[in-house]
Amino acid sequence: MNPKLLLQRYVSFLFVALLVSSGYIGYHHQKEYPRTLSLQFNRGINDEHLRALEKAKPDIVLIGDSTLHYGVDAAQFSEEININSYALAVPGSATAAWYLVMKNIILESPKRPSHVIILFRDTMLTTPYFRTTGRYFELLDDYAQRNEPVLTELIYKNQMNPVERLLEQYLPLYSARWDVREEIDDLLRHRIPSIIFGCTHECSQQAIASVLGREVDMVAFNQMVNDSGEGLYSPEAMNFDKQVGGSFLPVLIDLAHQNDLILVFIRTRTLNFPTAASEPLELRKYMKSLHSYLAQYPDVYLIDLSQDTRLNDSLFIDSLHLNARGQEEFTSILAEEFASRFVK
Amino acid sequence: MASDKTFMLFISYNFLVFFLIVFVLYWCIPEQRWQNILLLISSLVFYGWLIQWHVVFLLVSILFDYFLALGMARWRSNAVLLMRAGVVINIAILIAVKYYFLFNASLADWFRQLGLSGDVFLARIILPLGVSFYVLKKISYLIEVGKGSLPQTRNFITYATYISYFPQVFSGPLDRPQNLIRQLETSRSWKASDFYQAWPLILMGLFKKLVIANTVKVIVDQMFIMKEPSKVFLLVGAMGFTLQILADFSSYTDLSRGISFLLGLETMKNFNRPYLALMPADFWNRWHISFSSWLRDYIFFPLRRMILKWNSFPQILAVSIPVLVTMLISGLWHGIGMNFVIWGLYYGLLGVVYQYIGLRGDWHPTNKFGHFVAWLVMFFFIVTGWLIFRSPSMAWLWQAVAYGPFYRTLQELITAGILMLMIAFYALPLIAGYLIERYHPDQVNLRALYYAAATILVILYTNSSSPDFIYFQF
Repeated sequence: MNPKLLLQRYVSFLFVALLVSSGYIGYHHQKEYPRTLSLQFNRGINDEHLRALEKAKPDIVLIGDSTLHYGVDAAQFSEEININSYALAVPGSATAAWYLVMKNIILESPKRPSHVIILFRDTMLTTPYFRTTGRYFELLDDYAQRNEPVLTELIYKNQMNPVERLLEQYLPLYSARWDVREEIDDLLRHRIPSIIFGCTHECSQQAIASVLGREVDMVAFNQMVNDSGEGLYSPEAMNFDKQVGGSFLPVLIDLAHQNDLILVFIRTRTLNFPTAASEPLELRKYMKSLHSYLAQYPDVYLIDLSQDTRLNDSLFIDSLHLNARGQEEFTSILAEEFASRFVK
Repeated sequence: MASDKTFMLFISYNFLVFFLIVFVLYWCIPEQRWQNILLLISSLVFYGWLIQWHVVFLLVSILFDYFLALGMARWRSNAVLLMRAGVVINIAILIAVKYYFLFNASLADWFRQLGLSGDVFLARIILPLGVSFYVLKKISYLIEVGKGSLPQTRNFITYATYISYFPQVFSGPLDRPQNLIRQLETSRSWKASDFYQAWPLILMGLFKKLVIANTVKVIVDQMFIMKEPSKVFLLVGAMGFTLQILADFSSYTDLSRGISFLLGLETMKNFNRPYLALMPADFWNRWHISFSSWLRDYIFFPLRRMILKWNSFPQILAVSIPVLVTMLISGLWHGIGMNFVIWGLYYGLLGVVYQYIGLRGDWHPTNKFGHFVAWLVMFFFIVTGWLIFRSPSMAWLWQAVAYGPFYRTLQELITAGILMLMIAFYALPLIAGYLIERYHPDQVNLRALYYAAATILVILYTNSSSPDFIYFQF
């Protein structure tokens, strides 16, 4: 085979395919090119928590991911400090989702709380892109308005390289790739199964949701979580000064300040680094910088519980999540810490 | 294009910029000596991109072997002794690095007693990447020089470039010194034929990684985090992983080889349609060829020769032990945990059984039906092997195999059907590529169309973040 001819034919076919697909996508999706770079959210805000907040009218709202879900019993916490609280746990979330939750849920509730407590681990507060792509993007969609300029800037534009920006603006096939992939996915999940198995769209959707949403093996799940969390420990992620400017941390602080909220950051304990000595040196430096940074703001507090040895190994299901006894213990510790600082 | 925040993957923007700079500079330099210096510097930059001290670790280990080989050349009478010492030390380094976290707590305590921070040993992200690969390269160099079948490389730059060569340093292929060092020692000039070899490899590398491996990974991960899965999901997980690991690992090799061609170097082919194998030995001659031939040459053959010297050794053991030991080492090399031990032994036992029933060497069925049955049986064994390999633990697998039902509800059966359909959909391009290569190898238009379609899919499936290559962890 003549390799030169192969290359020539390949380039010709590709050129034609790109031309045709661009024309089709431009017409089919009614998009104008060059495109403006911005995130588009579709679903509208999931108001489940908003309704719950309206009903509970808490003075304290706790925000966090699955570590909050497993780690804090809001009823016990309220009882111990004698203040009404609400735990707004979004498993799989990180700062981008917390920002949306604070802006679109907490600040939109008729009775705003006086305190917002955010549970985080290690470098999460300054890693804006953590848990924002793929399936995590769908999670963000639940709490986002149609346009979210801060998110567009921090998790979209800032994370794109020049090639991606160019492709996104000028290549219709690339900018419409999520739509096309959704169509392929729909074909595989629904349309073909309806022919083969005689299972309708709803039937296949229900089947998938019932199977894939069930209980997981915690050891295997934890391994997956740990793997995906490694981005939190790259040298870049542990460089606080470099990361803070482009992160959600200053935005969260501004939002709290503008709305007279007291913001409390709780660094949770994990078994990844159970003792101070076991932490990478860079992480220790990072934490020092975070302490100094937050100390500048009068109504922002940091409570570091990562080295609290009362939460021993037996209280964890895996390296991140607490079991029922762990939840009880951690809720007590949190209540004690909170009360000593904020309850007169 | 991945905007990777951890290390410089072949599919990241960082790598694209890095490689463009290296590529332009490389071909602007007329002399081979300076080209090698550039390759070495760029390899060290690439290797140390994430954690700089890894470069120190790599350089020290390269220097050690380099001087050891110099010693072998100088004191020929002690060459074998020096070679053995070098091999033992390299293996010790490999074991210490790979298995360090089994005893890292006590190591950290020991370091703390000395007043040193334990973080170096406790953060698992600091594990020197690619150590499993470059240590094997170093060992093969020492053995070949020790045996006298390869002249010791006096030029340090050449030797260091061979070991740290950036397209191979993280996940191979494990090119032999006879191949790569020889090419590094000869002058290289830009040839269009190299580019013609490179672009399909790079394109297919991107395609297999972005379109197939990353997409199927989502299904596979879901199957292997299930608590008490039904057998039907084990099947989906095993089939999915069978596709994922081939697409993932062979994509890395394709990219590595394509990049090498762009630098005027031809590196070793690592895969030859492994899932068409008819028996275990055949599979290992087709899968991760550079590694399995390394095992064959440096473990299997020497061990068999040693056993055959003892006349009193029972025949059955003489046949079984080399295969079992070789495959056990292969399992241990791939990872820590009972899964890998059992996976290695599983292939060892399969090899023994096939040999015992007379299916060895170049055995080939005489008719098409026999061929199909042999293939089907071996494919079943391969899929079962990957199931052992990928399971989160042996207890999890045992629970599912021994006590799990085939399926619990009709919904499970429907979901499994849909997921199998998705896996089949993503396997189709690989099957189509094979059929074109086999039945229409000279059809330029067909092949050009195939590559154009692959490019369109690469554009569609490019994500802003992308999972790492599976073989990085080994």
